[in-house]
Amino acid sequence: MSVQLGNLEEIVLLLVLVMQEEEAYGVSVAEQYEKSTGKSISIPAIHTVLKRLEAKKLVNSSLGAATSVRGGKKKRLYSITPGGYEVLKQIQEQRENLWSQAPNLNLQ
Amino acid sequence: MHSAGPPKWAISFLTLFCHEDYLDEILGDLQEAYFHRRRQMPAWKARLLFITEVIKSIKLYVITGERNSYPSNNQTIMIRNYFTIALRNLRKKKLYSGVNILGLTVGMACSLLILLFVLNEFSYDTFHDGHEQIYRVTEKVVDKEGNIVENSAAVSWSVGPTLASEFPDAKVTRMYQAWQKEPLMVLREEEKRFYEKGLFFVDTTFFDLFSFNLLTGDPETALVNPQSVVLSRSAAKRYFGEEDPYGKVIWLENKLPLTVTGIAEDAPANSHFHYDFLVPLLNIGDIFQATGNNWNWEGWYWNPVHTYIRLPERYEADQFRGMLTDFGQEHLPDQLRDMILFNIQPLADIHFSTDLYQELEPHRSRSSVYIAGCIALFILLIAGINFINLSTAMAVQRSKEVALRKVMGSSRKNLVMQFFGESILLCMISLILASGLVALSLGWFEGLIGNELNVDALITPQFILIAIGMTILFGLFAGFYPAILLSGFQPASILKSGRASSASGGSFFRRSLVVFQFAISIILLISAFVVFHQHEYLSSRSLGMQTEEIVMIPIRGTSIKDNPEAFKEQLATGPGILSASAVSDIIGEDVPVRPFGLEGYDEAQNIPGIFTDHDFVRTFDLSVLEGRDFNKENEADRQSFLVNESMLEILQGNDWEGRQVGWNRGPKPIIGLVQDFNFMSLRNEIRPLFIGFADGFLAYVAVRISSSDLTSAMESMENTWRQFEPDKPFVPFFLDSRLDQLYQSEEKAGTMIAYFSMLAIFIAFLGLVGLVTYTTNTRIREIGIRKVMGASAPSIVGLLSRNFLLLVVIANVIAWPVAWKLMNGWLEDFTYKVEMPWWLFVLAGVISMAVALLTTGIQSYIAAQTNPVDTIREE
Repeated sequence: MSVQLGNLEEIVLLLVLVMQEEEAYGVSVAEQYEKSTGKSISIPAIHTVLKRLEAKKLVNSSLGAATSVRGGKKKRLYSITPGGYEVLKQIQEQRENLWSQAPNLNLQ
Repeated sequence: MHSAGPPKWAISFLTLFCHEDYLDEILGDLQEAYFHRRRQMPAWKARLLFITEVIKSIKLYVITGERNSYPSNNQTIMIRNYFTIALRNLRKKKLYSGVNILGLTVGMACSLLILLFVLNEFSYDTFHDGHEQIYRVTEKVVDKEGNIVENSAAVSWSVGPTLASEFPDAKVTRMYQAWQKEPLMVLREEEKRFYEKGLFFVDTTFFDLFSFNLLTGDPETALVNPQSVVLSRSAAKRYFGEEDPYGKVIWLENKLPLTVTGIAEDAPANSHFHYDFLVPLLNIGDIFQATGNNWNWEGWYWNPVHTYIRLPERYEADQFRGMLTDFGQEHLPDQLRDMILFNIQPLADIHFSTDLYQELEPHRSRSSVYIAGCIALFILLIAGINFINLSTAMAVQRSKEVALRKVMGSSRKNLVMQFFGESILLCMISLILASGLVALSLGWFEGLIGNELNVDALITPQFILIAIGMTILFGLFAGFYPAILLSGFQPASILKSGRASSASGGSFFRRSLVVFQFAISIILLISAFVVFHQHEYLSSRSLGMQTEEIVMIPIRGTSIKDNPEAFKEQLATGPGILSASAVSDIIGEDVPVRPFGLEGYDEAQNIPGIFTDHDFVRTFDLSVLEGRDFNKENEADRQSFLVNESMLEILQGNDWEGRQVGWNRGPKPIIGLVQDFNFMSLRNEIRPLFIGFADGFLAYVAVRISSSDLTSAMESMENTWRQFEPDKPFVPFFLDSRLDQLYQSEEKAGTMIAYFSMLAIFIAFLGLVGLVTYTTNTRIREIGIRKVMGASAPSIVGLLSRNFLLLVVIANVIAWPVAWKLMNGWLEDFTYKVEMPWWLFVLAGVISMAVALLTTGIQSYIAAQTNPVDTIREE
C-alpha cells in the first residue's frame, strides 16, 4: 500500500465517505466524529486532517454555500476520491483478512 | 460580556493572519461551531473555545495560503532544528523558562492593559464625523483685577443663537440639563416613572454636530417638533420593554406630553456625555414650567447651557478665538463686557479638562494617563532586563551546544539568528499567554480604572499588528546581549574545559542593569506610597463641616419647595432626625458664584453664595466665630447674611460688622462670621462665601440623622415625603458618598499606579532570583574550595550577598531624588497636599533591601550547603 494513513486520518476519511450524501465540511465532520466516537475534537484539528487528506489526493474539495450563522462565510465541502475509496477498501480488506485468521476465543 | 457573538478581536486577529483562500472555510466553520456551542454551554466558555480554536488555526500553510506544501529545503530544516532545540531547552530548564515566561507574561499583560487604557482615554469623542472641527464654547468670569472667578464649561442661553446668526456657515447646538434637578419621566400606560439624569434639552441641530446613530427615526426631522423626544436604546428598553416605542407618548414631569420620534444607539463609553432622552429645546418656557425653574434665561449671565460649534474647515481654532473676543465685546451687555471671556475647546480635549465648573461627567487628567503610560514602559523595561539577565544565566549551560554548532560549521551569524529567534519565540509565547491574561483580567481592570473600555473598537487589526511588531522589537532588544554573548564563545576552550571561561566580561553591564531595574522598582514603590498617602489625606481631611449622616433630598419641582418649613416640621417629628435645612446647592461639591453688591465696590462682585434657612449652621455643624447665627424668632434675619472667614479679605479688614450686602433690592446687613469650611471640592481653595435667604433658589433639603436610627430615620423621611408628594419617587442620597465621587477618578488612578507598581516589583524580584542563581552557579567551585579551606556557611552567604546588597543601595541612592522630583510634580496639581514624609523613602529602601536579602540569602545558602566534593572533583 503506497499511502500511509494515521488513525485520525482514517476515521476522518471514513466520515467523509459516510457523509457523501450530505455536506461534509469542518463543523459537520467534527460533529459526526464526536457523535460516532464519543470523543471531542477541535475544529482546527479537523481542518488539518482534511487538508492532509487532500494533499494525499484522497479527498476533493470545493467551495459551497454561505449561511448566516457562519457570518456569511462559505463552506469548503469535501468528497472522497476514487483513490480515497480504494485506500479505505484496502484497509477494510486487510482487517477482515486478519480477523478471519483470528482464533475464536471466548474471552468475555 | 456585552455581545452575544464571538469576540470581534479574535475574528480580526484571524482575518489578519489567515490567507484569504483559507479565511472563508476556517472563520465560517469556527463561527458556526460557536453558535452550535452557544446552545450547549455558557457564553464565556464558548468564547474561550472560539479563541483557542482561532489560535490553533494559525498554521504556516494558513498564513502563506499554499494548498500543498511540505518544508523541504535546507533552510527550513535548520529553522526546524532551532525551533526544536529552543523548545527542548525550555522544557529542560523548567525553573529558568518558567521564571522567564512568567515575568514576560505578567509584564506584557500589564503593558497591554495600560495600552488599552491609554488608547481608550485618547479615543474620547473621536467617533464623531469631523470631530477636529467641533468645539465646545466655554467662558471665564473674571473680576476687575482679572482674577478668574469662575471657569465654566457651559455658557449663557444667548451665546448659541447669537453665534449661529453671526457665523451662518458654522453649525451650533446647545444642550441644557434641567437646573439642579433630575426630571421625572412618566409612561402613564405602564405606570412607569423614573428620575432621569441623562435628559438633555437640545437644539434641532444636535445631529448635525454629533454622529450618534439613530436606530429608528430620521436625524433631520426627529427633533423638529417641540413636543418630541429621542430615546436611547436602553431608555427605550427600560420604559417600553420589547415594544416599539415609536409614536408613543411619554410625559415630562407628568405635565408635558412628548411623542417618541426616534431611538438612538446608546452613546459609546468613550463619549464625554451619555444621554437617555433628547428633547428639542424649542419651547423653553414650557420646559421651565414643567421642571420648576423660573428665571430670566434671556440674559448673558446665568450659564447652564453647554454649547458646541462645528466650524467650517477654513477656520483655525486660534483665529476663531480672536473672533470670539470681538464677538463678546460686541454682544455682551455693558456690565458684563469686561467680565466674561469666551473660549473654545476641541471636542477631543474635553475628556482631559478637569478644572471647569459644570462638567457633564467626571474627567481624567492628562497627567494620570501619561503616568500610566510611563508605568507600562517601566514594566516592559524591567521585564526586558529580566530576560537579558536570565538568558545570560542560561548561557553558561548552553556553551557546549554553541561550541558544537561552531565546530560543525555554524557561522556566528547563524548563531546570532538562532538566539534572536529564540528570544522572539519566547516573547511570542508570552504574548499569547499575556493576551489570555488580559482577556481574563479585563473585568478586574475595568473595575480598577472605574470605566468601561470599548474593547471591540480598540482591538483593531492595526492594534494586533502593533502588539506583534512591538513584541518582535522587544524580542530583538532583549535578545541582543545574550545573542552576542553566546555566539562569541570560543569553541576550543569550552570543549576542553567543559564550560565557558569565567563570564566576568560584561559583568559591569549586568550589574548596571540590576541597579537600573531596582531603581525603577523603588521609584514606582515610592510613587505608590505617596499616591496612597495623598489619597488617604484627601479622604480623611476634615472639611470643616458635617458631611457624614447627612441625607440630601432633591425638592426642585415639588410642592415641598414652596414651603420647606412645613416639610421640615413634619420631618422633625420622626425618629432619628436631628436637624434639617433647605439649601440651594450640594454643599461640598459646587456652589455657583452670584453677583453681590458690596460697599466700597462700584460694581457687583461675583462671589459664591449659598441660599438656605436658619437651620443651616446647626445642620452642617459649622461654628460661628463672631456675631450670631440666624434666629428663627427674628423675622428680620431673613433679610441678612452670614459670611465666612475668607470674606474678610474682600471686605478689607476685620470690621464685617454692620457692612451691607446688595442683593435682591436693597442692602442687607452681615450679622455673623462662620469658620471657613470646604463648600466646594478640595481642588479649590476656600473662597469668600455669602450665606443668606432666597427661597427661589432652594433645591435640596439636607437632613442630619442619627446613625443609630438609620433605618427608622430613612423610613420616616420616606413617609413624610409620601404625605407631601404621593406621586413622585423618593430619591435621597448621602452627602458623603456623593462627595466621595468627586475624588473617584483620582482614587482610581492612584490604585492603578499602586497595583502596577507591585507587579513591577514582583517582576524585578523574579529577575533577581535569576541573576543570583547565575552568579552562584559561576562561583560554585570557588565556594567549594572555600569550604574545603574552612569557610563557614554564614561567611559564604555574606560573601555572595554583599555585592547584591551594594547594588540595591546604589539603586536606592539613584531612585530617591528621582522619585522625590516626580511625586512633587504630581502633588502640585492638588490644592491640599501631603508633605512627603522621609520615612516613605526609608520604607521603600528597607523593602527593596529585604527582597534582595531574601533572594540572595536563600540562593547562596543553598550554594553554601552543597558538598564541595560534588563541585570540585572534576578538573
